[in-house]
Amino acid sequence: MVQQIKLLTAIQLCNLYGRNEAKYGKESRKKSRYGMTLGGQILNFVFIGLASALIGTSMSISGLTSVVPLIVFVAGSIVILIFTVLQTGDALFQLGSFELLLTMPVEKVAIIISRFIYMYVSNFFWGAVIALPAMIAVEIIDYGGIVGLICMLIGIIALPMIPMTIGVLIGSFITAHTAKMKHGKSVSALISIAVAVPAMLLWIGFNYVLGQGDAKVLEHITEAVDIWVTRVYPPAIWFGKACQYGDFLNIVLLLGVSAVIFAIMVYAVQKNYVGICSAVNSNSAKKDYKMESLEQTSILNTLIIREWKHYVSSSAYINNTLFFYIIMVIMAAAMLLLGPEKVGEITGFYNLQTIFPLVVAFWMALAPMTAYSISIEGKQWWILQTLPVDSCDIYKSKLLINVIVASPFYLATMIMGYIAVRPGFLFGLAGILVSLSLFAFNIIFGLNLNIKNANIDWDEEKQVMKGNPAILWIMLTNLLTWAVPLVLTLIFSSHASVIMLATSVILLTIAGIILKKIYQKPLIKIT
Amino acid sequence: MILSIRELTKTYEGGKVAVKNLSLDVEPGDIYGFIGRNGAGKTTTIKCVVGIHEFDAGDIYIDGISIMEDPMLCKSTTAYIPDNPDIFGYLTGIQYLNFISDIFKISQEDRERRIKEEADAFEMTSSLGDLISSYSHGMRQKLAIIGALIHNPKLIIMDEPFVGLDPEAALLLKNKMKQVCAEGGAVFFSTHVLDVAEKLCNKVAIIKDGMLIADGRMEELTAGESLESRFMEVVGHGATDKTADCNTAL
Repeated sequence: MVQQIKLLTAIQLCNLYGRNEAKYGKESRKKSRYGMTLGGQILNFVFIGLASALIGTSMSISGLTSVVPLIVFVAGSIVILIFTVLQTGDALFQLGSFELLLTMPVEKVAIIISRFIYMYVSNFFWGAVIALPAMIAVEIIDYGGIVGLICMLIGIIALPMIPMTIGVLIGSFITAHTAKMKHGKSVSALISIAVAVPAMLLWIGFNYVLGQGDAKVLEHITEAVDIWVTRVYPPAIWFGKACQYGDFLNIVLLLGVSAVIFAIMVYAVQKNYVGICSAVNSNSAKKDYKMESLEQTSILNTLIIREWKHYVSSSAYINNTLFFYIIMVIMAAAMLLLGPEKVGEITGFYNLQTIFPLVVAFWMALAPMTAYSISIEGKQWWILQTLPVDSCDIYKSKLLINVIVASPFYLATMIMGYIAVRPGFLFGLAGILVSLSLFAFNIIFGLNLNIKNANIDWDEEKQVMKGNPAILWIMLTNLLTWAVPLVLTLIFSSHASVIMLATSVILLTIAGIILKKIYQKPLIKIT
Repeated sequence: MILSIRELTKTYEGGKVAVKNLSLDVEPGDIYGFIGRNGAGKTTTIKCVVGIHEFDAGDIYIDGISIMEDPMLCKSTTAYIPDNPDIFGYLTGIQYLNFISDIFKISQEDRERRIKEEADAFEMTSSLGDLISSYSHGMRQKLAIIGALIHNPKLIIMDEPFVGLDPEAALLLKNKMKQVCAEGGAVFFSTHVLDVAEKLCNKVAIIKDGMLIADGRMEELTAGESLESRFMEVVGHGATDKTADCNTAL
């Protein structure tokens, strides 16, 4: 079985981020796509690594060195748990090779473990870039010595195991129970989000615990964090003790618990694997349709309706949009209930009264659908290419569907947020303008990036997200277009309205220029 | 000419010449078969005609209009049925057909009538309420055919249209093809089933390594032999030095 696991894992890993296609493919486009994906991913890691090092350093200066291992372990675990819950359905059960593998003399356990290892490899890097820089920054080796250092490295390698195992179990449960539902994919995506959002809130709560008190009561902070982590996630305590005191027994405990939970997961999943796979990959048909009256509508309308149907049928689409929108609405609701000062304190967005519209813009534009709305057409792209439809109608439908999906969340957030913040007329108007213009810029720029890096040659939906450099680049662009006005607003807070209005004008002008270029791009050029 | 391909050349990235200087004409009333080995360039040619691939040289005219100059007008009179109909799996059959009707601006009355006619003919009506993702390959193929027929195209381009169709549907499709031609339209399709091509087509073109090595009226091309033996004779032997002879003979 070990040999089977090795083989299956190697087959999957050989095309991580499209490496195999780039290596053996003749198309320079695929090679550059691979380069851009890798480049974007490395940049992401660099940013996260820097943030981790900064947090580690600042906590070390504040005398909070002992809680750093706990924080990074919890942070890494939460990120991995969210990723795993959101991708389990696709990664574990929806691979195109499922039927092929089942006809071969391959153990189900080998299939599950190999797919778990594949997920582990991509998650490991996230865990490492979140944890390692902070740990280096606080010079943890000074505390636990060489044994502490070894424990730290083993701990970081083991970090993804427990959250991934829990994530796989939750994800499998969701997939198993939604696969046969009429709108199973959307329900599955919504439940996954419902699990992921509290995990995110857990992290915000953790930060809040950490933010309580000041330098005079360091012991209390450490104590509060210890109690919180012991209650919520004891493995982080084991990791912290192992690193800080060079206590090898704690790392053995961490590995032991990870192995036991992993074994339980493999047992539970393999027992139901074929059933879940069959449910995911089969469809029921009623065959009872009787001709009804059909409505005629305009070309743009019919394209938007089609986009909507595509959206609600795709878990990848829903997962990548609703998650951020829901966080945004929860934040606004919390502002309404607790007040902007308190929410700013909890979330770390201090001065929320001034920067609220920019925070909304950040969530709105973090991962625009347009950055992958062409790639997600996949092998069906030929239909749109061969229809007598103006390419700009197709592009409009892709932009408008993003607006339609985002609108209710935006409206709810702005209404609740503005009731809480009570802005004046000019600031209120500037806030609406800046959030909408940042959103407009990012969805237009996202579409532009996708046109240039379309990947329609895929077999599984998750490849659209994983192998799409447009998503990574749009996230970086969003950070940049967001950070500049944010910093300016914080520095010159008395001129916040002017800065927001100026930002809106600049972004809308650039967006207009890009949009004009997009509309001139024929569909035949996108392959 | 309803379809005129003039010196079409298509080179893929990496330097592979898929189609080289290919010219052929399809007239109203033609059922034109396009045959060749795997990888000969049939699908590439078809994809150039329907606007999926760009090409390096030459031009393609549909009903006298260059697809380079007015692709929209050309597409509005053409229907394409691919070899592997990947159709929007998240739509139901009727939603897909309604979508196609909207795109081709078919009136409400006409669409209801035509969809019913074609869906009944292909025995698909009861399945139109189901998601396309639940369809078998043959059912998707039938839906693609219905979608192609409901807007009364002048030219139907098909890539291996009979793959996956049951015998009844295959017969029905053949009859539809004849009907389109009888009404002044034309059908251009690729196939590996030479028997079908021989019985159905009035014209045929043979492509090898991206080059047209024989084309013309069926009876002239076969000259009393079967299409299969003629095909083997033309394609089976050495390459393009025979091309000139073949075309001349035709």
